[in-house]
Amino acid sequence: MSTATGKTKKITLRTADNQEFEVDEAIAMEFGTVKTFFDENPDASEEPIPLPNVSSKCLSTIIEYCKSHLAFRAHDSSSSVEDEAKAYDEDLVKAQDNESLKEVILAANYLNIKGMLDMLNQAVADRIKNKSVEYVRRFFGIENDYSPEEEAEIRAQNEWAFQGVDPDDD
Amino acid sequence: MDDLPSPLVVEILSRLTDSTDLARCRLVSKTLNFLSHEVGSVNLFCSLSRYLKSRSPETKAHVTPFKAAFNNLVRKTRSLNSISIGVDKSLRNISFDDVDDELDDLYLTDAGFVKEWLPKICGELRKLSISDFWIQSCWRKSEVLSLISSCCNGLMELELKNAWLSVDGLNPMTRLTNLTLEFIRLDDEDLNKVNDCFPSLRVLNLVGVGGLKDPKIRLLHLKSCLWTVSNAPLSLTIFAPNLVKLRLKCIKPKSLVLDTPLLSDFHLSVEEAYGFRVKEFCNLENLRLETSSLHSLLGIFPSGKSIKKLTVDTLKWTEALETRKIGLEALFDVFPNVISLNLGPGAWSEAENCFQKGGLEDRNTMKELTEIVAHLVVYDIEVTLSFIYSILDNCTNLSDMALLLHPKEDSRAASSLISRCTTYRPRVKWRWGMWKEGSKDA
Repeated sequence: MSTATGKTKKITLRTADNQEFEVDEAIAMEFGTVKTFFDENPDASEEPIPLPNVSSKCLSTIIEYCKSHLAFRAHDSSSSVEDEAKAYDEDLVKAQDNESLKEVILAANYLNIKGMLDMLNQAVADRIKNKSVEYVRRFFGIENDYSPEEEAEIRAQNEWAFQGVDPDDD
Repeated sequence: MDDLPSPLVVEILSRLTDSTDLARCRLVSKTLNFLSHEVGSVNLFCSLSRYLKSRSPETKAHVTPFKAAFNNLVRKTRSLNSISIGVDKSLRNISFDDVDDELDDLYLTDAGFVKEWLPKICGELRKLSISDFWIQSCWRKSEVLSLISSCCNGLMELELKNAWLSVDGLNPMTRLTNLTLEFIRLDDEDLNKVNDCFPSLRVLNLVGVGGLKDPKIRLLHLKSCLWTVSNAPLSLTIFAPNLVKLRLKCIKPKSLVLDTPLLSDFHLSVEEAYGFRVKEFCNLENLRLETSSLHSLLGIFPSGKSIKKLTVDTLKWTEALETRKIGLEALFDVFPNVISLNLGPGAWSEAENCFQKGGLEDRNTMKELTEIVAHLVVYDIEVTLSFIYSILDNCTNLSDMALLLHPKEDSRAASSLISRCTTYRPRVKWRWGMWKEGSKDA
């Protein structure tokens, strides 16, 4: 915790591309993996913590998210702060293209940041809602591994889901 | 770029609130098809457009029947824990005259239909919700409760809407903690079967449940209850020793009996309460009252010493009633320890009226008050202002005052009111806003 002089403790994180980020302890503790590490090693040295699965671009997005949400939570819970937090999340997601969104999800998953991961997963679900099969394939980067006959059979079984309003093609 | 790991994909697919999207994902690839069956919840609602297409002669041959689509969805899921099936709210506007009501393609509480899928997948089912199509269900009595209670041993949450339910053959469901019945005609006049067969309920919501005569709720573990009674049953009784939160809306029950000693949050909306019998509310902190005759309700209300936050309003206040009016002091006689007070437009008018006739008597109890929210109705700005000043003089600990005006008020009068109030007592934190019937305060 804080030292006698009241200075907040800083923790250094090293990303996959060898960049070092110094963050307040409070922010680093939002990362489940970091928190567990310190819980199990209370006398851990001041060495930077390696995060081999996280790029610097992802980490800076994640750090910004945690900083902002810590600030939101420090305010009295009121509906206007909730709206602000929602707007922040929406803007963050909007700024990511499909590839970077996946990267951030993988990073949030690896770092075990539940709140952010839930928010991101919901954002992906919202993005593929009401979209064509092709769009979903492109988004997840999945190859169609059905043979034409197999595909026709699955389609016939689920034909009802394609009736009604046509999904947007994006 | 690596694909996302399976657990994350399943997590994402689980967040698709409409299972139609989930079904389409099955075509994406074999893997996604496999993972889609890991998603533990099915949510399928018949939209208005689907309904119309299934009725129109040009398109109806191409539309899979809703029940068949649902069966297909449910068939291959490995372990379903939540099912939500129903018709969209938009279908509520369809009138009986437009419809050939012999059909039963959207009669969802039909025990015959439910029997096709429920027994096979009920092992892990924890949550079930069926919102039926009133036009097809209101004249058919359903035995679905008996079916659900005999096979869903692990069910914890049950929600049934827009149906006519029989309680014959209803078996005890000891794991059920949440029950919601909305717009239901229930053949259980006094709620005896409900009490006997759902003993572990923590949350009970009865909204527009008809067919009740002398309903009594007797549930030992109930913590939260919402009960809106549209007709006038003879009596209403609630015996719930652990009840903490109650929202009760009724009209003119001949008798209202509440045995709820732990109640802390109570929202009561009643036109007139004649025989209101209540053991003392020792733990009540939040009280919200809406009534047509505040005077008689306060007369029979047990001592409200514990209440800290009070909201009061009068229903139908625009009609001139012969009943005696309630002044602010009378409110404090019954609720002496209120810290935060919210007065609706009717209550404010009544209190202002009383003030106009006889001023505001000083009460020691008003000194506890720190916050007031008032919905003003201004007939004469001088009267309103002198009432406000009088309140400020009496409530010496008041730190927060929010005054809401109706948009119809003259804007010049409104700004004059605002500036005079802030000048009179600047150390109070003033907040201003608008109120309108039927919508939320701004």
